[in-house]
Amino acid sequence: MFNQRDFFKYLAISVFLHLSVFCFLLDNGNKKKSVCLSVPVEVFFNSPLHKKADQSIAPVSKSSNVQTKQQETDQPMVSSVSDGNSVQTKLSPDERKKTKPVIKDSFVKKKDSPKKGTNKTKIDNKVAEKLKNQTTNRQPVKKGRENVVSKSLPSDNDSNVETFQSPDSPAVSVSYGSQYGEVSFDTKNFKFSYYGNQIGKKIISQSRWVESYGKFRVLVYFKIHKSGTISDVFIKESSGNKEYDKNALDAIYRAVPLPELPESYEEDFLGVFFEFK
Amino acid sequence: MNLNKIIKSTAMKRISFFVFVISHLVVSCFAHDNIYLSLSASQAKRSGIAIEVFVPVGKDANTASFAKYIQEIVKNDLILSRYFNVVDKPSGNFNTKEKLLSLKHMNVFVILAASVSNEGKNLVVKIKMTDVSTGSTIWENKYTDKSCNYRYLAHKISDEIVKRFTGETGIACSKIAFINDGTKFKELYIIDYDGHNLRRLTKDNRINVLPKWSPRGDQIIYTSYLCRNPDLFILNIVENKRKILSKYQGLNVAGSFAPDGERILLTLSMKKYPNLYLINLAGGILRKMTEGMHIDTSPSFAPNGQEIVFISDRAGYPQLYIMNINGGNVRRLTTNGLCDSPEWSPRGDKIVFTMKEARGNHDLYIYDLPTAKIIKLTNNQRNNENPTWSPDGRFVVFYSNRSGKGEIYIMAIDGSGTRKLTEISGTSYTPAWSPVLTR
Repeated sequence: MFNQRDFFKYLAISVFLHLSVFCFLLDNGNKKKSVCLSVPVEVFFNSPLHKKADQSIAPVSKSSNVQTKQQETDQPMVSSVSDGNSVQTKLSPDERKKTKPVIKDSFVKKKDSPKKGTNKTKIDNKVAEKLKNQTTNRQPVKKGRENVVSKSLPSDNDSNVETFQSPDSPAVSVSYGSQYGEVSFDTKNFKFSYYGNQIGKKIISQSRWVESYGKFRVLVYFKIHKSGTISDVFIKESSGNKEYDKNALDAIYRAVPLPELPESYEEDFLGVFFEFK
Repeated sequence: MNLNKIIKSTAMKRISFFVFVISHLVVSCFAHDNIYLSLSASQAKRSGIAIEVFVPVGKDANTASFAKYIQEIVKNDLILSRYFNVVDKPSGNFNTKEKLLSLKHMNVFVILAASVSNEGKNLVVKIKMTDVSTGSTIWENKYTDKSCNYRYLAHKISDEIVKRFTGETGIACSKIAFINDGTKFKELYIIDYDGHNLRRLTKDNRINVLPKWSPRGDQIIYTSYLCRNPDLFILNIVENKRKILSKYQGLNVAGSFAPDGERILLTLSMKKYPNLYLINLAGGILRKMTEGMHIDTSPSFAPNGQEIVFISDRAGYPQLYIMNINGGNVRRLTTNGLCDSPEWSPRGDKIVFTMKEARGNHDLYIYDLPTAKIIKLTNNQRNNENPTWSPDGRFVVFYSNRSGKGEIYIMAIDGSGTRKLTEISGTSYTPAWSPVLTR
């Protein structure tokens, strides 16, 4: 009745298949997998990443080792990229788009200064003078802006990119998509590094500029009050492109309410320079 | 001989089954991998925060355990908020520059420290935030709770941290109402947004469906078959009282509060076609919103109270429509699929809804109003239905049977960070996220 030969053949096959599944699962288990299993849908709410984002070059952020390391450990996503599989190759352009800004996102540290040091000597006197003249007109700006030095940074395709840094409150740089921003304050008394980072992130994430529209830079000044509301928003240095200026102002208005100022900061408001680029 | 054939055929079936399982596994594993590729820039937007061990004041064992619980809850809240990268920091003297620098290298900007004490019957928590780079205090605050409701106290602390950091309101003090049939009957439950503190609200041994919160978070409306007709009930969860709001013959379903909390939109059939009606809190009809020989249901108000989104099958199949609250200006948003259960985002710029395409499951979609784009949130994970927004509009809670059993899940609206709300027996349905509560 029982055809034993056949039975064992099938049994052997089934055992083999079981084993293969088991091995596969083991192998799969070794990869670092996070709990979230969601959907391969790309959702862009604020600034849709454009193809050209690949080519964008970060003028400021070249030392982001510390952060990128943490990003990698935090996010299994990055490690899974290196595992070769067919799906990955198909999606790799998207991936490139995505990871690039992540890697570029950085916080300017003192480490940078020796690198930039070579360029520090090339202080653009004209711009610095111009700035000083402008700042003397405005009361609240006057105090801190005297220390502001504008220096040209090395950049591969755009020599107009400048950063503003006062020695007391170093500028905080933030990025989102293909957009970069730098925050600096007009006072020496503000001693909270987290705040610049926080508002920088919030404002830059509201920018809807796509880099293919053009590359500009604009400097905006505004005051933040205790409760996180803003006032006196104006363009300090125009980019020469009305649309870009408007985008910068819109991004700031959209980011309201900003976080409240720290309680131990005694002034009523905080003057902020925000540079979009 | 026959038996041999049977054995053979069953073996063949088994093999084909295994092949199927393996291919499925392969496909699903690769599918999982490509998910990670799409998780987007949200990670880069997070800021680092180090949490010091919460110090209990005094040697009371209760205080020590409260301190531990509160720290755990706050930490979990901050992680779930997706604004922070949370780092554990051992207690001790961290004023030395080296140690502060080491934190800075971990991209940590602030340190959270707290002390917990038990003064009489009051639980007192003192919170202090310190800036890492300068060591100056950002803010300090003291929280007291008379009834030792440590969970609510901890949620309140996390909400304030989120508010101080982002300017946006936190959602840690919110709850989720849903239906569960663990007792063989569909009863109404509420649970904290983090999956703790489960509470049953009804014990009717009947069917209760479709709960919705009032804008102030003190009332829940739902449809119940308690009187053998689908009537709309209103349950006051503060006073723990309920009453029948609308008991017209036929359907009284899919109620939804206006942002002012004074009016309710719902579907009444009244022996005719189910249309939308606007009623007040006494149950009187204020206006008939839609007219016609078709079904209009699942209404939801825009946060400004001027427009509503609803489902209508006037095109022959259920589609998403928007109309003004005064009637008129009806616009159709979708063109294909079978749509259901829309809800307008609390920020006003998006509508989340369920759609079933011709050969697919029910999936979650977001209609982005400024760009008129439809974005798919879930994919290939069985049915995902009944989404509702978190109070800050950054998450949705929804029903899904992806695990083979109907359960409640929460996901961020960029499609990432899905988590199961809680593990309970029975099937759960129709979740509804509350506004931020003050209890």
